[in-house]
Amino acid sequence: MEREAIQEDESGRLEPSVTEMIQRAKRRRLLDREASVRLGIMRHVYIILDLSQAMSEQDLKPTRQICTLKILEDFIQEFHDQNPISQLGIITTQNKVAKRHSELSNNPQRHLDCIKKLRELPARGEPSLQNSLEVALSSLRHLPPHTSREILIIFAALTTCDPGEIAATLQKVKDANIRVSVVGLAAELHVCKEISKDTGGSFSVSINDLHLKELIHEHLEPPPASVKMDHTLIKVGFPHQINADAKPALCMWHLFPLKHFDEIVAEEISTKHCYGCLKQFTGCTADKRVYVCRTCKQVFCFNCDIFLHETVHSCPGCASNPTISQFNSN
Amino acid sequence: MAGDGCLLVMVVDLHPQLAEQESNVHNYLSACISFANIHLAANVKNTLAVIAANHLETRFLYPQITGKTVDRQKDGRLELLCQVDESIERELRNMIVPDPKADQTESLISGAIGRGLLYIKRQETEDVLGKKVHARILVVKISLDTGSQYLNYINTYLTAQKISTPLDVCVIGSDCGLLQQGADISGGYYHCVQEVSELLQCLILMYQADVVTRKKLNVPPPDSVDYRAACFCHRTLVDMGNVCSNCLSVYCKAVPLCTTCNVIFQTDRPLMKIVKKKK
Repeated sequence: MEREAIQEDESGRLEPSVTEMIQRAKRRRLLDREASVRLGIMRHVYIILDLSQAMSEQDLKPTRQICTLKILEDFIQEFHDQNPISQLGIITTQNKVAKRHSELSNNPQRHLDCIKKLRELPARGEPSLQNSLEVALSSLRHLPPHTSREILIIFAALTTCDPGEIAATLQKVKDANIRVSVVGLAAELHVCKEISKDTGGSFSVSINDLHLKELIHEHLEPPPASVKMDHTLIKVGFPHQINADAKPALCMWHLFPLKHFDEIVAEEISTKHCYGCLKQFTGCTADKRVYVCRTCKQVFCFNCDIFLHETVHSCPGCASNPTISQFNSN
Repeated sequence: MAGDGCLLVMVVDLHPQLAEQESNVHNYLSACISFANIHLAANVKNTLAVIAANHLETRFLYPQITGKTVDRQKDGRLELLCQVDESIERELRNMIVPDPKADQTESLISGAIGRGLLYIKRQETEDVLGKKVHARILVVKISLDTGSQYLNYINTYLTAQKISTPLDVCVIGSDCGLLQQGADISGGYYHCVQEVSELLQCLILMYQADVVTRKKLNVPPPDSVDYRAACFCHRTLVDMGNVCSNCLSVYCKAVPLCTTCNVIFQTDRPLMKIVKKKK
């Protein structure tokens, strides 16, 4: 946030201006998500983590390694929450070799144990992009063709030590329809940028720990499905009953996203309270704008708007309207 | 925990089918109101919200948008309880309508649960000290289930699970599989009573205890929850189904084309590929 952008209001207070900015930022993130794009929800993601000498730098506190692993811990939890039918795996690279530390699986505990072990591992040597891509490739290429295959590289070094021509590996990655994204900790590298560009992934370099977290967490959302992806019918067994520990996981909201609400100035409408939480619109900055569902025309406050779109994914106004809820089900 | 108090959000079903027997209505409503009173009286810090749902709308019975001032104490009763009763009674009169055509409909319970979740969320954000609000939702349901709100239900269940709010369900008459799943997912209780006359007893015995106290109590062993999905083509429950890799629609037989998302399935090609690679 820029200092100049903050303005005092008539009474000389800064708080309303800041509140408004926070609200803007939150909502922009919502609007960025494009609705009605075919998403690859059956994801197989390998995280390639650089554990070379460069990870022991202290520009992220306490060290790059500890900071990144902490962020990954949160990421793994969230990833399995939001992508219940997806799988993660972890590969590290140091001393010019790549090693698979945890196989593709959808058990978050296994990955968290792995992260814990990686904390103890000293960061040393040079990383090898080619070797780590080959390791990921060796298991991703055998997956059924209807799944989304992805690699997320977290790279701190400015060099890579490869045994052969990396362009050949890159071609193989491309042929296997794998999407490679790179998050850099230090600076932009040409090779990383090329890889992500060629495979349709994203490339970014973090400026600090918060930014790094944001960049990594961007990969929680399933990416748009690749056009080359096949579609198949998968045989699935449904249990008559399950034991209490195994919670069923569902990922419906990626399939039926909630449409954005319209932003309206609170003074222009007659409704003076939020339909969801009964909050009264008092005219303070937080309530200056209210949000109207396009389908059921009910009015919601800012917090409810964010909560509905980020967590609930269905509108209680529409669900409380017999005509709309009937129509949606058909 | 005991000192913190707890927020109870009651979702009460007011489907016209309730009115088929005059005595039912009275017993049902008085059980719900009594339970609300018990909850408030049990701890000074306990708070309450009551949302009603029928086949046409959902409505907050308590609290009211216009925060009415507490009346003066009447006949020795606690002012708050008096206010709750009055508020609920007033809104109930506006909401209960005899509708003979309502037989084939179900109450909009999922909408009411959704509003309840938003209400809980607001209490959490408004709490200045950032204290965790111990909230739970209780659904009392009497009408039949048609499965038309499936998606809304599932969304509310997952939200309840995410904000760790148990969703208790007490149904009257026949079992409701969908709500049973909700209770199971969010860690609440599910129970089915046969008669309206048993309702109050059941509510007090099973649903009055807060989350911490519950761990120390024995409950009737839960029934097994049926997690089978209904196929999209015939609406029958399937043990083994075919699922579209693109949109996850469930089919009971192998079909060449997904009717939900219109993709054509490559029936044999991908299988061949895998077999070849294995060799």
